[in-house]
Amino acid sequence: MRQKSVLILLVLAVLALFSCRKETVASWDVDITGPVVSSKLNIRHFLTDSLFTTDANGILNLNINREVAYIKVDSLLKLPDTTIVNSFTTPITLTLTPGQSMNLLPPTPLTFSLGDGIALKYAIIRTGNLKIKYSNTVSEPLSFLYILPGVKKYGQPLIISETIPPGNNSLVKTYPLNGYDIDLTAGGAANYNTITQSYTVSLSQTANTVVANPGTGAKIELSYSDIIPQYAKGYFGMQSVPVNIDTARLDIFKNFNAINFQLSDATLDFRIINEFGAEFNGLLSNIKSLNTINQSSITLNTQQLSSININRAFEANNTVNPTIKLISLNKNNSNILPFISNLPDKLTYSGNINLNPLGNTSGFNDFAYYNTGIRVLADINIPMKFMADAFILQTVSPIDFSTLKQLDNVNYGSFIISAKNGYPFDAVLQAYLVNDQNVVIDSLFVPGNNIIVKGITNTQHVVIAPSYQRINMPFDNAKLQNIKKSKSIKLKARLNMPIPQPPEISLKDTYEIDIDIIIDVNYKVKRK
Amino acid sequence: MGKNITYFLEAISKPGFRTFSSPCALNEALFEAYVLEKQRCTKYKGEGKDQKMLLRWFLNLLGILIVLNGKAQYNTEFINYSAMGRGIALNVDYEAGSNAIKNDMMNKLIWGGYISTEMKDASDKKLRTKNNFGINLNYGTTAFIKGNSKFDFVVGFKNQEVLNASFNSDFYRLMFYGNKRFLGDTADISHISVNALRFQEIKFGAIIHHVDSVAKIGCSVSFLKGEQLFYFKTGSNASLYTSADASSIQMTSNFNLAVSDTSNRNLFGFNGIGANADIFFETPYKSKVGKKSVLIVNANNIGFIHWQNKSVQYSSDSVITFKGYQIENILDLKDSTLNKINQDTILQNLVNGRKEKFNINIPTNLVLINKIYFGKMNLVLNTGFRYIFNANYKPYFFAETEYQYKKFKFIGHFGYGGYARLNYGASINYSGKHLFFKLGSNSLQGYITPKTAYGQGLFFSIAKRFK
Repeated sequence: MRQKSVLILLVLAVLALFSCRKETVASWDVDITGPVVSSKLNIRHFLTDSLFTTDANGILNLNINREVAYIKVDSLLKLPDTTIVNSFTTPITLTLTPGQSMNLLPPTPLTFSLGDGIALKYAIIRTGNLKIKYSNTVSEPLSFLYILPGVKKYGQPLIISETIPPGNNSLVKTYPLNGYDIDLTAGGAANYNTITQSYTVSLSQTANTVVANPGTGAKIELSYSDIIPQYAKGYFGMQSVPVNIDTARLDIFKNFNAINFQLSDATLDFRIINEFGAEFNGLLSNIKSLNTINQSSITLNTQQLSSININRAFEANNTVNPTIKLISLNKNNSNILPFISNLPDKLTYSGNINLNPLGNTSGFNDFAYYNTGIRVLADINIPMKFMADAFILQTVSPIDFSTLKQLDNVNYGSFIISAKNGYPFDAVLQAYLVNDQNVVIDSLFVPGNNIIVKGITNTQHVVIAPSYQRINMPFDNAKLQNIKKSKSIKLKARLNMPIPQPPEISLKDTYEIDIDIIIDVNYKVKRK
Repeated sequence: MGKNITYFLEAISKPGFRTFSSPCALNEALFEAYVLEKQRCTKYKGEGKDQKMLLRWFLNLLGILIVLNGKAQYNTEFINYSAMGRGIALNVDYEAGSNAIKNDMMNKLIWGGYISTEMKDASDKKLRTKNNFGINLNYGTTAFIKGNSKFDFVVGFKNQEVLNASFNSDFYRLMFYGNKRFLGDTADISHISVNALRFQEIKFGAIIHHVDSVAKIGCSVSFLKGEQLFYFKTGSNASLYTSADASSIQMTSNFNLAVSDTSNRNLFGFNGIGANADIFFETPYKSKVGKKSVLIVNANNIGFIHWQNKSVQYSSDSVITFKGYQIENILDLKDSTLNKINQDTILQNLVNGRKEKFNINIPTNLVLINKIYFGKMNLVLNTGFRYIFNANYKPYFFAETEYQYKKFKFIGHFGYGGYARLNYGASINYSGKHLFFKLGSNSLQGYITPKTAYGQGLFFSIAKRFK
């Protein structure tokens, strides 16, 4: 009886514990209002990767630094692939016993033909290969010992020892030359581009005695390929290197566009940095500012870039001290104002570089290190003083609210944009919702109720007090669903200049729009 | 019937009956009501009809109590023992009430559904300075197993769920209407208390059923498994100010909050460990009224739960002004930025949160009942008092009538206090040779007039009786 009771008890206990646990959801609507975000909207935010400074008058200066071109050592100082054939044959009939050396001619130095008047005395190989094809015209295997005394790694010369089977190209091998120092003066016996070599050819110890007829022996074909120097020293010759037309992306004004925009001032400094131990002369031409959005192009007119002489760099303790050539363009020596006012997103350029225009003035002491060269930097300085009808700032930010379940509980409401405008122009805001197909599916601001009125200005159009606005941005559940579907939001601010247009508007460091986003929603609270 | 209630209320509102200092006081109130009725009858109908009048009055009162009132279960197994004896029982005990929230709204809160503005408004009109709200749901199984001639053993399993709150009108409006109606104003959220607790217990004990041959003493101890806890209490300075333009919210955050491990919320979630004890005492005594009187004292859930170290406590006693999440660049307002603005982050930023172990007392239930037997011992008048400690509960006074007819017992209940205001209910017991059955509600008013009444409840027991 008791066992039965306990069993019933347990069954009831399990039933009791596992029953009555259905979740219920009570819901009701509440009106919630309060601040969500406090932030700022500033012209700096739209111009990425740029540095703003403030001048003595408190006016913002936009400083842009871009590398326009970088001509590396490998394009100026290419060591060509070189193939040299050496024959080690007997001029007489020899009966060779195992291990017996062949009576051969003494070795001769190996000279490279580098072209363009290049005369190297010393090099360190970063990467490169020596490929050797071996041939043996004797009927028994030959032992081959090849030594390059001027090619060293960790102080040890390059030694190659192989057994060459009988036959044409009977052995092919590749030897990496990475990290080898090369003395290209043949130990002082030659001035440049030459290395010494020595070799021994003998009948292999495992071979049978054989008779070698005149003209038979070993032949090797040496191929130096893919040589990239880590360092090179000597005379680099007089070279003329064309700089083909190329495009450099500026990407400064990609979020910025303007109507009838005209800067009051701007400068463009080209800094040409020479990391080579050689002198250069050159020119930059056909420099254009391209605005690919407006399809407009302005060619830079100046004489400053037509003949540029660049001194050689110096080396001390394996460190390069580059020389810098500065060429400044301003509104007096160029058409830099319309050039920059075009708001280029790209620059095109071409030119020519002459290496060692005065010849071997260094006495074979030109030098070059790997991954160095001639860098051309453009430093643009734009004081924020301009005329314009309007300009448009635009940015796209990725968003993903698809997992934000709270949005489903919002019945309706609005975002209230409380703005304090310290700029001397009206700002018309719009935010577009963009789906994963990059299609605009909705917008957030109501046209006509999206204007942040300009700050209060004095007669010089300087803001003396900000203006305050509250912009209502209503939404319903349908709009919220569009927000959830969106993958990015495109914020567009059109800044309308005052009418009548003042001669010049200056943007001061202190100007900005304070934005407080306040939410005012009817929200469905769910209690589980 | 309504007239009799009026007389009863008139009687208990007389000086000396405003409070019930003893279990007999409520009985005396009922007797006084009878005297008032008698006086009126004498005035209008003359004397000599005392016996008939007395009988009619009692029948009327019984009718009222049976039809309109109910009997509470009180979340204790020992009280059942007298009626059920040895056996194994499945018990469900549910009660919910508020002295501010009307029953139709309460139903939505408990059982789910949409709470309309009309429902919120109806409760809003009745808000007092201090209001309370509570739900207790207990279900489980208990067995009284034969020990020897003097005592029996008791074992049981039970799930207990508790949700209660004490709140003021501002808190209610903040919760159910939002803060928009407080624009430019301060919502007083001081002295708010919210407790939500869910735990399971295994009970072992014994009842001595022949102390001095007539009295009963029961005692049990339980091992508790804490599953869920939410504890929130504000201090005297807590308030929330919303500026007139909604650009800032200022919170005087004077509160403590404790939450059990939120990642482990299920029946098998072992987030706390504890113990409690139940004590039961029942003894007959002699009184001037009735043929027999019995006093029952029951205290159960005397204990605590030790919440483990994954539980989190937050506390704050400072003034925090929130003017929006600060983002330097509005164009950085993307999902990764907004995702930082979640409840946990805000809570962590606002308050001092820490994971640690702590103890919380569970709501302790105290019940006192005085039973007076009349007639052939088949008519019983119960008066009683109940209080639940640590549960935002108001003292509850009640009266019950029991009428035994063969194997059936009809019980009426009338009470005031607790989570609701006025309660009435009814229940029926069947006590057969092998089966015991009880079904009733201590708060029928919530089912009859949900739009105007407060509180609801249901209890149910079915037992297989042993010898």
